[in-house]
Formats: sequence, structure tokens, C-alpha cells
Amino acid sequence: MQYSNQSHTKVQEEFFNTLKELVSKTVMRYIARGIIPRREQEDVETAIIEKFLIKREKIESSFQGKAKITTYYIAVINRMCAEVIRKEQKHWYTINDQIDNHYHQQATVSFDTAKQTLVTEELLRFRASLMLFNGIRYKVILFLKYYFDIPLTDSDIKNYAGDKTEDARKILSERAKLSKAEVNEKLATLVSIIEKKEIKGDAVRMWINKQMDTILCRMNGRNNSFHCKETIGLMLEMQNV
Amino acid sequence: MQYKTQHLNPEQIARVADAINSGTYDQIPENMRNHLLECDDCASEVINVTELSFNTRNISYPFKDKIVTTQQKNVKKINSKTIIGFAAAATIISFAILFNIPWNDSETVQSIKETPKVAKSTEQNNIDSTPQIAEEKQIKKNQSPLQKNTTKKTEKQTKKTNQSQDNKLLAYYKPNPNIEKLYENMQGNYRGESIEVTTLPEIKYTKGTKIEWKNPDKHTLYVELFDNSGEKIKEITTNDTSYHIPMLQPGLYYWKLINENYDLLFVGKIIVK
Repeated sequence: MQYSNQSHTKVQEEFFNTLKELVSKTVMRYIARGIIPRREQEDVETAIIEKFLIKREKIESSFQGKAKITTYYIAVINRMCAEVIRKEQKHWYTINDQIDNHYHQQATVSFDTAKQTLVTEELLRFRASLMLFNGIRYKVILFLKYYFDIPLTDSDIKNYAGDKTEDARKILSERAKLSKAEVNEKLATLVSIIEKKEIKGDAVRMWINKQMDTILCRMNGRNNSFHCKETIGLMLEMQNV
Repeated sequence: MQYKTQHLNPEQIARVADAINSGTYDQIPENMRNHLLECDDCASEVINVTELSFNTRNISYPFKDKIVTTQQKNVKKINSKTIIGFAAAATIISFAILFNIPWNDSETVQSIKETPKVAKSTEQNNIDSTPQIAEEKQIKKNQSPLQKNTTKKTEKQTKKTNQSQDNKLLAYYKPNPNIEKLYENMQGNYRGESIEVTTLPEIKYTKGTKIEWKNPDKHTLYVELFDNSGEKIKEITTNDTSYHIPMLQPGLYYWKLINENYDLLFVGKIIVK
């Protein structure tokens, strides 16, 4: 009995430490993206841990084993964090931000490393957001790359054009000399060959804008100032998609 | 637009995030992928979880299971107590048999010889319906008070032993609530894009019984066998389409089919009689 009690306590301790680690990681990401003020970190973490422990039994009984348990816990914690943000955001930004400025002034040399980590993490998010385009993923990648004048690879063209890769390559050649309007016209021609749809350049322009808005909406979440159309181009260039 | 109505739950979000991180997004059910194409809220959540779970060390295994393991240890302790009790009862019975063997008693032997007559008379009187009962009654009549007491004790002990044996047997068939929940959840659900289990969810074990599934792409799969206490008793890795169930003690067993990304594809029951 004593053995089982000791073992139970150990398991609980281990669980609590892991929970704290996961909550902290989640909250830190929202802080890094400017959604949660740094001064609120401890309060938000405590609120999430409390919520999680209250609902723990329900959370664990809902788990069906279709995902990794760690990822499942992260998904639950992330949802709880979003709830806290929704509730508290109004209060956070009505207070004078003097305290937060203090944190910004403390930035040191380690800032560069943090920046690098942030970039890597944003690239990961970008990759995930492209993946969610499902069937039109390759079309989105090709059209955005062409739009931002990023060199195309063979697989970029082949993934969209299939057996009409050669025709597509001819249409998409000499990108540098083209104006935005001409780019749209070229892409409209490409659509008519590959998808057999007669559309105009303006329709392509609207379609590209819509896809960029979707990416921005999904990547920014509640912080609309974090990414813009230019950063999509930068991220496309930085990662080998 | 139809996909907008039902948002993904945290486990589905986690599942998609795992698939993106492992490069198997295409294996996610189509309805979920279509929903993510249209729903910015769920997509945003997936993006967050994908990023957060990337490179996060895995928890050794559900903490809940560890607690179950502790419970299992308690169950084992109870079992050992039952075994000790069982052994003690057996010793007492053997002692009782050694010192009060009725066929060593000349009176009893004689009475046994006389039983057909007695049985006949009892049949005539319509008191006892079977010769066996009549025999028993006659033996009891011929026994001394001391012998009667010992016989009663022996009967009681035998009853107790039978009861504990029955309880023990019943315990082997007691469903495991945790695995049962998984079993129920898996019925009629998605079982993987290319892997489809052809064996019935519940099967009765006979020698040579095997569990089967379709695996056209020869994916690596894990088959795990559990007893009804939730303890894993066998685990194999295969890219075959079937698995021969080994010889098992009577009881209720469960089996799980897991793919190489550790996605649970199927949970089935095996009843061994």
C-alpha cells in the first residue's frame, strides 16, 4: 500500500511538472507573438494550470488515443490559453504599458538568438498553414512564388501541372520582365491549360489575394500586425516548400 | 460550406498536428481536411499546436495508465491472498478426507451396500426423487455426530472453494473499463486510409484463430495484446496482413492495431473459453 502511494505521488509530481512545462511553452509563444503581455505570464499560466487540473478527469477520459498524448495535452492547453486571452485581453491593453516597456528595455545580446528561434517557429507555422490548403496546396505555392518572383523549382511546376509541365514551364518563363498585371495574365493562361477554365487576369489577382488573406488570418490569429503580405514572400523564399 | 458547422475537437486538432509534423497529412480523413480548408479558426488552432508540438519531448505514456498499473499491483496482491486462502482450504479438505474417509468405515461400507434397497423404499415413499440423494441421506443417517460435523465442514469448504473458483473465473472475463471505452469508440470509426481490419470486433478464440486486416501498401504495424487487467502480454511488429493469436488462458483479452505513427487504428476483443 505504501509502495502504491509513493508511486502514485511520484506519478502526480511528474505529471504536474510536465503540465507546467507545456503550459509555460504555450504561454511563451503567445508572449513572443505579442498577444499576451509579458507581465501577465505568471497569472495566465496559473489560470491555465488551475483550469486543467479541475477538468483533468474529463480531459483524460475524452482521449481516444488517435493522437500523441503530448500533442493532445498541448491542444487542450492551447484552447484554454485562447479562452484566457479572449476573456482578459481587454483588461491587459487598457492598463498603461509602462511595466511592459521595462521588459523590452531589458533586451540583451540573447535577443538575436531569440529572434532566430522566432523566425524558425514562424517558418514552421507557415509550412503548416500551406499544408492545410490540401488539394490546392501546390497551386497556392506555385502562384505565390510566381507572384513574388521567387525562382521556381521543377517540382513546383510539376506538382501543379502534372503531364503538362513543359507547357507550363514555357508560359512561366521570363518572369522578371513582367508587370503585376502581366503576371496575372500569364497565370490565367496557365489555369486555362491545366484546369481547362477560361478566366481573366483579374480573377487570378483576386484568387491570390484571397489565399494570402487566408494565410495571414490563420498565422496572425489575434495579432493582425504580426504578418503582412510581404512576410509571406519572405517566408516563401526562406523555406524550401 | 457544410464543413463549417462542426469544429474539430482537441484530439482531432492534435491528430492533424501530428500528421503535419510527420509529413502524413494526406492520410488524415477527407472530411477533416475539407473542414480545415474552410475553417480559419480550426486551421489557426492546428497551426499553433503543430508549432508547439514540434520537437516537444514525448510524455513517457499516459499518466493515467501508470495509476492503473499501481491498481494492477493491488489487484495482484488480492490475487495472492486468494491463492493462499485457496491453498489453505485445499489442505483442510485433504486432512478431512484423510481422517474421515467414509469407505474405511465398515458401517458406512455396509450402508453403501444397502443403499439400493433404501433407495427403492424411498422411491416408493416418493420422498427422494433420485437414488443419489437417497444414498447421501442414508450415509448421513449412518454417520456418527462427529462424522456429520466433519462432513458438513467439508461440504462448506468445498462450496467456498467452488465459489472462489467461480469468482476467479469471472474476474478473468471482467471487462476493462478503459479499453472498453477505446473499443466502443473505435466501432464504425476511421481505421486508416489503406488499412482496413477484416476481423470482427469481437471474436471467440479457437486454436489457430487469427486476426486479419488489409495492408496493400505493406505499412509497418504494431499488434498489441492485452489481458482484461490492461496489462500488455504480447507485442509484435509486422507488415503482414494477419496475426495468429497465441495459446491463451481462458479469459477476456483485447488487441490493438497501431500504425507506424502510433495512431490507434483498431481495438478488438478476444474471448477465450
